[in-house]
Amino acid sequence: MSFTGYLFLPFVFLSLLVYFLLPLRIKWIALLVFSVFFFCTWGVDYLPLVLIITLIAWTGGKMIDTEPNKAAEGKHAKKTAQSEKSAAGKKKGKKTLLIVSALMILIILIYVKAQKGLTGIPFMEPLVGFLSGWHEKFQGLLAKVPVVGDLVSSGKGIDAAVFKWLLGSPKTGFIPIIETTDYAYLTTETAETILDSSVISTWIIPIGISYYCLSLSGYLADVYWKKEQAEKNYFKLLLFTLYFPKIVEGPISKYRIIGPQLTEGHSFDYQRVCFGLQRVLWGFFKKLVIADHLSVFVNTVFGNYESYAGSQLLVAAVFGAIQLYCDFSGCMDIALGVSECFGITLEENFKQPFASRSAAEFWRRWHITLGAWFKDYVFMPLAVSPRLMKITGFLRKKLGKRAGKIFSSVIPLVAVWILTGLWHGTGANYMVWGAYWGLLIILSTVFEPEFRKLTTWLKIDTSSSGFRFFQKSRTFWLFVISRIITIPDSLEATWDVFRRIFINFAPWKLVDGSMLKLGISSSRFIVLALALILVGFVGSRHEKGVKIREWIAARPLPIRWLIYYGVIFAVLIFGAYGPGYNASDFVYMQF
Amino acid sequence: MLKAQKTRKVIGCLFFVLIFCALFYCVDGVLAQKWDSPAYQYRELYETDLSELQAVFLGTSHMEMAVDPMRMYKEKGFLAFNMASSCQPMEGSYYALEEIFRLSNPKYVFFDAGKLFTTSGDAHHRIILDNMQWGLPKLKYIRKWAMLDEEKSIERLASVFFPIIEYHNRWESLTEQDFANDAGERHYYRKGNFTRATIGNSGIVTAERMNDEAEQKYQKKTRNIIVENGEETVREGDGTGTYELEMSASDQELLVKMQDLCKKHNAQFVLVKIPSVKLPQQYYGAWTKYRSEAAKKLAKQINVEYVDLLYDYDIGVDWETDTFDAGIHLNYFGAKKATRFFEKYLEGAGLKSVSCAAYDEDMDVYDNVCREADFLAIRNFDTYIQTIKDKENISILIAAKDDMRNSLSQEDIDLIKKLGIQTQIENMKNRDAFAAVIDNGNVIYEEWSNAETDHEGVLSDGRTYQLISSGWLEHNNSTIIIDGTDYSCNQRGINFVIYDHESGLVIDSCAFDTWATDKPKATRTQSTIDSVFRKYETWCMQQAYH
Repeated sequence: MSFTGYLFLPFVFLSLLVYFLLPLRIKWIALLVFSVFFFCTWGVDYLPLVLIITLIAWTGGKMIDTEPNKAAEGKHAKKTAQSEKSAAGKKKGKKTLLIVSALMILIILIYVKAQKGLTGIPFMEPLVGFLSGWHEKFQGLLAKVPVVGDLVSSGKGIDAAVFKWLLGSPKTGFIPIIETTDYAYLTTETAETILDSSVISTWIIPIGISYYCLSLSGYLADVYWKKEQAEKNYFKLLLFTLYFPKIVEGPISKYRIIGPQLTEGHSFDYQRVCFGLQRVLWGFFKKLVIADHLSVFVNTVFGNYESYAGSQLLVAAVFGAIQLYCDFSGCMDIALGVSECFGITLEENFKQPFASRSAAEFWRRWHITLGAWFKDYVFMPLAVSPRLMKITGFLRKKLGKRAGKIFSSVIPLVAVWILTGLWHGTGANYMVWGAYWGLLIILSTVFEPEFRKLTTWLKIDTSSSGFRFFQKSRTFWLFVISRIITIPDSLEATWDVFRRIFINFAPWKLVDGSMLKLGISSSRFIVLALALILVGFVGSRHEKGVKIREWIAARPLPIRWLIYYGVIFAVLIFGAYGPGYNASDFVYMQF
Repeated sequence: MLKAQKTRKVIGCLFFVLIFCALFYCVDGVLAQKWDSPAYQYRELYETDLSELQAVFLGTSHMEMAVDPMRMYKEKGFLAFNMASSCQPMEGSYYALEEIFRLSNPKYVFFDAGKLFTTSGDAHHRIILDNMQWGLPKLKYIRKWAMLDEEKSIERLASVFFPIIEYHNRWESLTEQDFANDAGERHYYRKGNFTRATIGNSGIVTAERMNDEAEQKYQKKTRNIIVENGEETVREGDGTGTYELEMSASDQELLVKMQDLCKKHNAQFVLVKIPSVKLPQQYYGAWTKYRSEAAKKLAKQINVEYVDLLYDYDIGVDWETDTFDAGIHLNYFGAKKATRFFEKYLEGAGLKSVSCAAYDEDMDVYDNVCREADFLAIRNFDTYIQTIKDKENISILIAAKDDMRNSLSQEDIDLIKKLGIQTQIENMKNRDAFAAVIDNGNVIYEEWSNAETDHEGVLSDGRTYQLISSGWLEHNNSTIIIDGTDYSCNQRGINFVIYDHESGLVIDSCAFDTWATDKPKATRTQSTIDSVFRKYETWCMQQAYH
């Protein structure tokens, strides 16, 4: 069930209704049931995987968290040498537990993402064999369960089964059948067709696995570092893993922030639900009115890039950048909006990234929770690790203060960007993409004093609005370049696109009418331009600290409602949905 | 206070939703696809008392265009209704039949076999679904259609209840009609038949040639001879071309279901084929001998009568004049012949004539429209002159182009003079100009010149006109403007425009090439006929129903 699917909003309203009708203490159970159902709409056979990953995190967390907390430690201040030794041993044991648990989760993640890519590695063979065997066995078991078996063999979600039950069978369909016979032959035919396509030859990446694997690994690390206590109830941790607004594309949440909110239960709050729904609507606007229309243009051009001039490719890359922002941030708006309706505040993932003045700032504003995760669990542990500090100290002594400082930040940054690239994909494009951003950030960190000297020498007022505009534009174009690296399906294609932009720019192609033959008509361009102006305006208000929903709420009722109806009907009329559009999945869903 | 606040919020929410629903309803209505003829068809079906309905016709546009229930009623008193529609899917035919049996109990159901070999798209389902009344057949049809493609089932289901899902992209192509659509509200008179008075015969082929080419097309094996570096390679494929030879199993079974449904309601189910001739490479629905034999075999197998009006019965179709698209669909004149065949069939089956007030009420409109269609079909010069001479309350506007004299016989000249023309046409030279206006039988202007004539005037009903005529040596032009619009065919010879005072419409515009032949035939452009016919038909309906 996609966020933009026809059943999503009815599902949300039903879950909200049930959630608010139930007593506070059991509300979380309803959330868990709905989340499990939502997850199963993407395929029932993925459920065991998520149950096991959560089980690993839950067990690991519990085992790590056996040591009395620090407050308790204070009561027993007197420590013997033996008890200290025992504590050190325990700590080492916990560290091993953390590493083992996190590794198990990460190996499953890598296995699933790279699929059979690990089979060539000798020591991975048993694990891969175990996972594949388990997966096949489980599928075999599931196939024997009446309804679930059909789902597994068809590869369809639980919503499809419910829908088919309602409509598909003449005997069980909710519309009564009066004739004695009906279309049994057609039903059989359809069933056969499904069975033919049931051979699942490849393991499709389960929804949200990259997001909840990182979240759970982070949870284990936080338990180890005593930033939070281990969750005692497996199902509460399972709810944290499966919570449906964040399962599709995150955010990559921290358990200590989201966990308590999920389980404590929230009563109905009119204002909060209104604000939540407004944010959902805004998400649909960005996704359906902007992103999915731009994607038609981007896919047309990049799908056959050899046929287009450099100028058209560049425009497609710019559209690709805007498309990705509207797609991903739109999804986040829907996720955060739905969650807000339940009274659960998820972490923000975007903060006007196109207002960034540098690559580093961009990544503090774009996919914030991913950046924060890598900072908390990769960058910081590496930067403060005794080994790195020792090397840094050595370099500082030998090569000077600056060299030591550079080394202390470059090594963790390299690790972060290798992993960020890998997280996005295992293809060569993503490797280059990670290296590209890593290099930009590392170079800007290393040469920061030189850049400062240069601007002083050139007498550039770095606080002027003109310079700020230059910096923002530069960051945007850096992002556009990164899109050119990842949109084409191979590095050769990426290189060819760059080549064409430089040697076959042909700017007249932008005005000779050929741009209107790439999936977006002139009237659609006008609608897109207006929609982008609106998105830009809302972004600039947010940047200035104006909370747009509160601003609207303070307007007189006719203006307020006019705005709401305007956005609703803009989505309904100008949105890319219905026949003629393939339901475009959210771009970041693949991760 | 708290309670009052809560109540206010609840009321506010209700109002918000209500206003949303109202706006949604309006926007949905504007964006929804406007189906003209299917909307009329279903509107008529529901507003007519069909308790004595005797025959129903189902199938694709071939059937829709070919059978004229009003003619059957007028000529034989048989009560029939045409439920065929463009590319009608088998599911659509089946549920339309269920709908018919819900409303009535016809004795004969005729189904066009052409559908058995062709496929339909979503739009062809929507034509029916969007116009069918809510009820069990429609709900069952929706379910059936939704489940035909499981991937799209939710979308299809949602789009039937909320058409905006299907049609929201129409915002880019909205017209004035979308904001004032009343197709579903307007009364129509043809009882499901849709007709065109135009004649399309360009590229017409014989049934023999169609079968010859079909034979080659479905027996064709690909054979590529490739020469590379002097070496020749021959590659032969085993493909059988792209012409569909097989009937789908589901369609065949639906046919049986239709037969069962008819049996259940004591109706006779007849499989027919409306004549159609087109090369298979040009038209996927080409009715070849192969298909005919397959349909015949199926009919025999399921014990259904099969009537092939192309191969087994000669209904006298003249392929030069009886179709509007070069052999695919019968036009008004072809439909007359097909309808008469069914009249004879039902007569032979012993059907008695009945009377129906709704059909009687529509007969005046039907007669007027038929008269206009028959008028537009006149091609002989003498018949044409005689007809316009006898027509009342019209203006005849004439402007010659190039030359009108060369092949005119004395007999023709005498005929023209019967209109009241005084000009000595026999004395006209080659390539002279001539223009005249006969208003309600009175010649109000006529001019013969060896140079260009240009005259402006006013007709008796106040309409302004302008006539320009010039021969080959001058500007070689014929212009006949009424109220600012040029209606002349601007063809060599005599150009006529017939203006009807009662309707305020031009009811014909044609030209006779009186330079080339002494027995000239009228030429009319398809667009002119379509435009003139539709406008006149609309006027007739407006007069009768509003």
